[in-house]
Amino acid sequence: MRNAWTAMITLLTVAASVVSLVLAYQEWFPSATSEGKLAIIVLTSFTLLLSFTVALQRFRFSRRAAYGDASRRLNRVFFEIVDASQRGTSSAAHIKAACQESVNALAEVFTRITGSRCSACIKIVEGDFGTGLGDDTRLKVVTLCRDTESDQARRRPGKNQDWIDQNSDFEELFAQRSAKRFFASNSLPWLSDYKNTSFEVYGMPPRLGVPILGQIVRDLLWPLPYRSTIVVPISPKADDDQVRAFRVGGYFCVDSTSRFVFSTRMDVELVRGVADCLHPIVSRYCSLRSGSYRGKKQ
Amino acid sequence: MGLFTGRQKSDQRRTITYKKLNDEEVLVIVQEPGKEPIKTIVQIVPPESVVQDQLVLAIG
Repeated sequence: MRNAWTAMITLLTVAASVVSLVLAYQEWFPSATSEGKLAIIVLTSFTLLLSFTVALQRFRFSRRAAYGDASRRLNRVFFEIVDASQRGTSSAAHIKAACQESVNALAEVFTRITGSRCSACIKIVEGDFGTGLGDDTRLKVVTLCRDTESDQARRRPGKNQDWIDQNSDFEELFAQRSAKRFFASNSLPWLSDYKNTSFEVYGMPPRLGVPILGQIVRDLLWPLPYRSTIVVPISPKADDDQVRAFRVGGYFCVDSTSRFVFSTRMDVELVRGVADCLHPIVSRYCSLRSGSYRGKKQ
Repeated sequence: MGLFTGRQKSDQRRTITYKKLNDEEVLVIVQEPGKEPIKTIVQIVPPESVVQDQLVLAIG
């Protein structure tokens, strides 16, 4: 709210400066001498330049200031995660609570940074455990937890399967060679090859054969509740020379209803920081769930 | 600020295979023609329904 007010005041200031200059120009310029006209032109140019620079800087630094505010919220998250990972006896419920805290925090932080409603969730990979997993078996992702604000809205009535090979976000991460893997897009409707099993629930986006118009229509009638996304694997720290043994315990996903809201330089690294920190406890959660299955089977 | 747009490659020439390493891990191999395969070890969990079924059997 405070940001909205300061943005409005900045805009009003710039608008008032422009109007004053136009009025002053109409009043003084025609009767001024040639030197006076030159002085008016130079001063007007400087004033306009200064006004627009102030507006631009305000936009840039208000976003950067939001990262500073986020650090206080993130401190609590890191404390919860470290606390859960240091307790060797953490139960699945305790781990899930720490994960829930982290998705709630990231959703809040990105909503504040981007100024648009953001959602966050942690996905883990499910397999046909102990039922003869062969080379042709498919893997799918399931939601471990989602931020409380969007949990109800995103709960899907249908039981569609989120196969990894049917979701561009996750599939793309397997095809990257870098140790710092991520999938990010600020305009999902404009990715013509984008695959997502959620289309089975929300409906397929329209496909028109006309190049630009087709994309605009697809964007306008986009069925998914998000248009921008960042997906980062939850992995142990890996250097580039360790890429051959890249390990994944799950995925941290952040998305927004708006377009062009995320920054690769800042936001992907912010998500990666939390995802890296989460790896020990997410991995332990997976082991606990697998162990509980094995225990009951025996 | 470095805002970006996503990049999407066609997957028509990409093959994904899974190999079970043990009860908890699967090796995912992505192969594209003329390129070295990319390997990722994924930690997997049993389906929730299977865990619950086992719990019912254990109680029963």
